[in-house]
Amino acid sequence: MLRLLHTADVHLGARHADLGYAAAAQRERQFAAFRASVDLAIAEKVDLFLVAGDLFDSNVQPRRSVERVAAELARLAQAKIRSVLVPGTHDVYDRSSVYRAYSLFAMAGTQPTDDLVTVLTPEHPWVHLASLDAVVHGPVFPTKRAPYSPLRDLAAVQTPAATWKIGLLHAAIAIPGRTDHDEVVITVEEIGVSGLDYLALGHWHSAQVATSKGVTYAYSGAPEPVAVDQDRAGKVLLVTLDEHDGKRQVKVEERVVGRTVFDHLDVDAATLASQPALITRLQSAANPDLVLDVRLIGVRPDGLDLEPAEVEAALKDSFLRIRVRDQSHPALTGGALPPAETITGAFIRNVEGQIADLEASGDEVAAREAEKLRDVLRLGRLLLAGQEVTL
Amino acid sequence: MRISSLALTDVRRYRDQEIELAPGLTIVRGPNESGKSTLQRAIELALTRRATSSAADLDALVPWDGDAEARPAIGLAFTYEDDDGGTHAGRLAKSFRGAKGQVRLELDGTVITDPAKAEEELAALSGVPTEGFFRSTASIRHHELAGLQRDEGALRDRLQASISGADRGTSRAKKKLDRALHELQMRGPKNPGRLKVAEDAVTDAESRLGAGEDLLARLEHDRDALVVARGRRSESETALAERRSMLEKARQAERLGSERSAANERYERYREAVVVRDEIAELERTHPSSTPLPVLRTTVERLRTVITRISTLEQMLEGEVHVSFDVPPEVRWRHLSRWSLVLVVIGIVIAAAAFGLDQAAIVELGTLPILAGGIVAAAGLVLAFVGFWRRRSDRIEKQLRDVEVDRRLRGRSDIELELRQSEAEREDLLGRTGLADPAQAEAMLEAEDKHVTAIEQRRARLSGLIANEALDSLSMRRDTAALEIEQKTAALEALGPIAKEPRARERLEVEVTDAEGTLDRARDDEANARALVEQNPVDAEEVAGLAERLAGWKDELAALRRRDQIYTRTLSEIGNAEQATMQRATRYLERRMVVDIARITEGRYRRVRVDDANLGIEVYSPERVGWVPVTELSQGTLDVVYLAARLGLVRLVTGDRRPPLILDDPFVTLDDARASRALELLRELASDFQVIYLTTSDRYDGLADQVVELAGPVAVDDHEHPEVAPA
Repeated sequence: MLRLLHTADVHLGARHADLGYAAAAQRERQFAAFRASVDLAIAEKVDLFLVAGDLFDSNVQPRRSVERVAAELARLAQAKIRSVLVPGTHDVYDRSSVYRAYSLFAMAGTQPTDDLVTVLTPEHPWVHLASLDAVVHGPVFPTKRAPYSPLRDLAAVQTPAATWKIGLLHAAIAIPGRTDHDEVVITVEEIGVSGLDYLALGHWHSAQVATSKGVTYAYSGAPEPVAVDQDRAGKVLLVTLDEHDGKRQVKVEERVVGRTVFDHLDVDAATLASQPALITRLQSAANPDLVLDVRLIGVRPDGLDLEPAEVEAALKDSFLRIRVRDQSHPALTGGALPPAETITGAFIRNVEGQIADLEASGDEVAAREAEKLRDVLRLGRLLLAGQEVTL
Repeated sequence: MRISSLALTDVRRYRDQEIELAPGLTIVRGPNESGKSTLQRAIELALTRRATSSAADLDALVPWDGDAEARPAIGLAFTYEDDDGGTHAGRLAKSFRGAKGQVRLELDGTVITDPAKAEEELAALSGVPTEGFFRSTASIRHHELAGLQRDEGALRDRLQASISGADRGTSRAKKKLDRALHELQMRGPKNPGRLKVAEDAVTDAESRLGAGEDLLARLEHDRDALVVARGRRSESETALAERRSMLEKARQAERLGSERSAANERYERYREAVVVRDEIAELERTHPSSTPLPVLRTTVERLRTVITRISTLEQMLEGEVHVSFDVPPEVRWRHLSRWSLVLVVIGIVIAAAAFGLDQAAIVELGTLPILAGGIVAAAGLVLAFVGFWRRRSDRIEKQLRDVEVDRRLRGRSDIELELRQSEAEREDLLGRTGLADPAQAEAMLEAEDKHVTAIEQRRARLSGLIANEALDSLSMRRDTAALEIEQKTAALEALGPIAKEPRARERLEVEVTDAEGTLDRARDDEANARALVEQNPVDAEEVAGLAERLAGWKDELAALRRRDQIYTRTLSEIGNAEQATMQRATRYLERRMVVDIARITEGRYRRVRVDDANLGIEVYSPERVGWVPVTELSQGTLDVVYLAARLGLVRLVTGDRRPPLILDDPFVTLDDARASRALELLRELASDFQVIYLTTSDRYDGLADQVVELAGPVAVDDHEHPEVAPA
């Protein structure tokens, strides 16, 4: 029996342009998720810890990050858990690769001769772990774009005999029309004839498991979601390989290690009485692990004075990150218009006329102008009526 | 729209009151605090306030002495004209209960109870869309006229408010926008506006991010370069090691080569020595003569001598040998000696004579005679010498002759004896050589001589080859040398082509030096490349933070720019609307006001002009012979002018809709004469509008279509006055 923990796409050091002040915190969470997966591996006493690429978001991550990773690998080594990593497409194994600049196994306090920490490279694309009776294949290229499928020559590679053959690969599974420009592509057919017992994949950030002609393959997904709309991220996979009566069985179990949740919320502006009301309403969803993207949509009542930045500031501490975007638009003038001979009447008729023309023309630029003019209309209306508007 | 009756329930002092109003001019008269303002307010609220409104001022309408549940309710009965000129009747009932407020609007049979719809319909009928609009147009309060004279700006502002569509002018709105734009757009370094702050922040963040990205790119590039440098250094090390090993081989080849040459030389020597030695041995074995050469030589020499002697002896025996001598003529020498003597004497005499004569100084002869004498004497000596020599040789000959004679006398038998002895010796000698005859012996000698010479030559050669070495080990040494040659040759073959290349060692020494230089440079390059990488301070996570901050600042800048555009646009659109409106209003006012002002001032002022920038009004003053601002007119006149303007504007802005006009005694300051003239204005107005005039005075009663009298408050405070203390 062989038990392993499969993770990938940690993307340490990733940039989060849309998270603003919470970006640095999210980067820390990404590392925390990695540490949590190591904790899990130790608690579950697995035999092998696999990282299927993109551990680092780029090859130029600081030494500090590499040291922290090495410390985690050292913990695994001390618990006698072997770890095998492959470079991905972000931490690709070119000449400036982080894996060339730093020797992970040395930093983890192990020797090159023992097989506790291994990084597979184009020069050494497989490793035989004798004590586990397993061979791990990790074909990688020294370029970001693969010249051909990494599984192409896998079956022909000569290795010492072993009961278990594991594949560790950072690649996309071919989807015609979607993955045409992807850097590393493999097909389900290739997986089926690879002769592997389990193929640990990385590159896609959502967890999924499948089989092809008896070969089980899986994406572990990112242990901490890296961007919005990755709702199947935040997990690692615990895999058990077993043999009963000559039949091999592969069992894959998902475990959650990530904490951040991304969500979005649309709020109808017409239902809002005031900015404090909005703040109260959003406060009810408060969650320090939540990245909430709030959109105000629909028609905004004239009297609603709203400053998204203030709302964000008020709720900043209740969420990991909250972003409020006002995409509501002020109404056209309701009720009876003041006579055309009044300034207000002239103003409203003039601006509404321009809005109608722009919205009728149908093109995007005109639509944006029309949005602005709606704001102009609302502002002018309120100011001319003598109402208090914060500018 | 004209209101025919007004019903108030629980509106301040009106618990339950109904008031009839005329379609034209209604005067509502009552003392102070009789509730006139409340009526004005009630009509305003009925026409413009939504029934569900929960504004605080509605609460203030609740009667003081009413029960707690009482809420104001206002009802109207009215008539209105439709677009075709037909008249219709309507009823309105509004009950203000906050969110539970209710409205019921009946229009020609149609009933509307939806508060929003009701407001829309009412606004359409009355031409009054909002409360603010009502107050700025159809509803005039007398405090509006207060202080007009002092404040020309106030006059204008109030007039502007009439055409603003609300109850205030545009100046406040424009000021607010200006201020906001100013805050956004200020660009001074000491007090930058929000736009500049954001722009500067974006610029700063962009440049910092750019610098960070540059450093990251540099790090990548430098790492790449380091790997390349490392590779080159490793290659140089390998190349140097390879060159060094080749050099070793070349040196070895050289060594082996010279060793092999030495062995070759030795081999040749020993090989030749062996041959020579064997030749010597062979020659020693094959001496032609059994006698050693020196003995043989001596023997043969003696043989030769003997044979010669024998031959001579035989010859002597064979014939007498006549010995004849030519005896030279006797003593020729004597002849010579005589003559020599003579010559000498003569010579001496001559010389002496000359000398003596010379000495006696008798005759000067010079040296010549002495010389001649000497010569003669010398000749004589020469002759003497020749003679002496002749004598000697003659003597020798004589001796020889004597010997000869002697010999001849000895006799033949000696010769024969000598001959036999010599022959015996010859035989003996021949016997010793073992040869038959002397010719053979000569031949043998010659042969042996040659043989021994050959041996001697070879011995010398051998000595030259091996000096003093022992002869028996020569073969072994030759074979050893041969073996060594083989070994060295095999070793050289094993070294490969380098062994065959001449001057390989020199070439490789140069190449090794070059390779060492290359390795040094490669090591330096690698060290420099490593330093570049290590000195790069960039932290990718910090750069990520910069990128995120930049994104935030960019968002903020975009939002501020949008805001700037909106404020600017709003300001300009308000300005446009204002300008257009003002222009229309001023031309209209000028036309209308001229009539009203002429009437009110009994023709004093017949010309009016209105500034279309700010509604400032000027009249032409005949006394001053020029245009004067109306504020320079008397208070009473000014009030009327203001009203004329105000009312003119009402007509302008309400167009063909006719809201009821409610005036709260705006003529209170006018004297009776002026007041009645002003009221005529109103009468004229009343043909187009319903006019409700609130006043305390009864001087207008005569002009009204209807007069409503309101009773004053009756409650009196019966608290006793405190006694005034005695002084």
